Amino acid sequence: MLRDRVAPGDLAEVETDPGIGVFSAYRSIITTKDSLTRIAAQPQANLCLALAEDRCIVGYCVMRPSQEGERWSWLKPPIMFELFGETARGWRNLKLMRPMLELLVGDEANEERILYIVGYSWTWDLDHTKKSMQEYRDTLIHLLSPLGFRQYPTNEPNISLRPENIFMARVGSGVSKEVVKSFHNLLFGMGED
Amino acid sequence: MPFSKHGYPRPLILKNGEEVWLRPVRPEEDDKAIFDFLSRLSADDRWYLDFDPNDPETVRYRFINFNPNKVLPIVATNAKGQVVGLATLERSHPGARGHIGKVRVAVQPFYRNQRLGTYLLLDLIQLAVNLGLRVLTAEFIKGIEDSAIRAARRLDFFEQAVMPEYAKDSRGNRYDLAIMVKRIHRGYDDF
Repeated sequence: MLRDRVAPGDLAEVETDPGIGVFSAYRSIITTKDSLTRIAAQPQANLCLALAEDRCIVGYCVMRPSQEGERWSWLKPPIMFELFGETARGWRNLKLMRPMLELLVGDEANEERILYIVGYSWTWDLDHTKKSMQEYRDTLIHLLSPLGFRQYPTNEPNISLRPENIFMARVGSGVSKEVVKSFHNLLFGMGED
Repeated sequence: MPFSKHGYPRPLILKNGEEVWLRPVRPEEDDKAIFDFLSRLSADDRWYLDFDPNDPETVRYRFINFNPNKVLPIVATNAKGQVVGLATLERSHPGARGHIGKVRVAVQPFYRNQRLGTYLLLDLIQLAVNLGLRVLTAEFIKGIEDSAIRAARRLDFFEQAVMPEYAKDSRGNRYDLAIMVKRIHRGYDDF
């Protein structure tokens, strides 16, 4: 079962699957219900949960404004929204992420926003999925392209660390040309015109 | 198409704030723009190319009538639609060298020192990742293309071999040729 617009209070009734936060080469900052509760409490954040038997979190997906300090937060008012999520190990081949993404991206308000996703190759569970980096990366591209995301080049230092990393964005149909231009500048670390 | 998931046209913002766009060559409309680009290169630049830019047949074979299974030419265009950079990713047939790509980048003099060359090289690397290639190679003439060598090093190319006194300038002075290689990782163990 999927549930979006989860409020902090809703999380009191559910538990997290032990496979959440389990990666072979990376320690996630989101491993507990507390961290999800904090995200759910952020203004304009939309937390979507995949629940097993109505009470066990086996996947989550978050859409929220870029965090202060990140390059993507320079566009004001906040127009860039980050998407990230995870499926619990053991549930990772069940295609839970697609419907969660569809639910979040389908929000009409997103036509006035630029949604983005950053894929850091070191966060990918290659051991368990038995995928190579290219295959994992391809999975992300195939997952996101039908939702209107496309790859963009950027010199953002964390993303540029490895060419396998990927930055994809979806520019809403209502975003003005001026904002798109500012977004392009931002991709390369330039402030607004 | 090999380009389909790469997201062309891709915007780039140069160091001076100018916006240029990267996209594959469009054979039906880029013929003149590519010849114009090559004609704007200095005589010195043209000397060091590994093809004859004065030979229309060669230029068309490499950049216009290209076989996408063998070579993928990318242009950088400015707001006026001029080609200001040209890069190619060459591939072998799917045999012993099918996992290898060879990259080349050329930038119009006015657009140098604006990171365009680096971004073009980065684009080819990402294109190679998208195509599933494992190794990239590039050749640079030491003492002539040192800034390109530095850019390649920043993107994890390393000097695999040097062919001593391999190239020559127009006065006959000899220069070493560096063969640089970049490995594209498939898993964490590769790092």
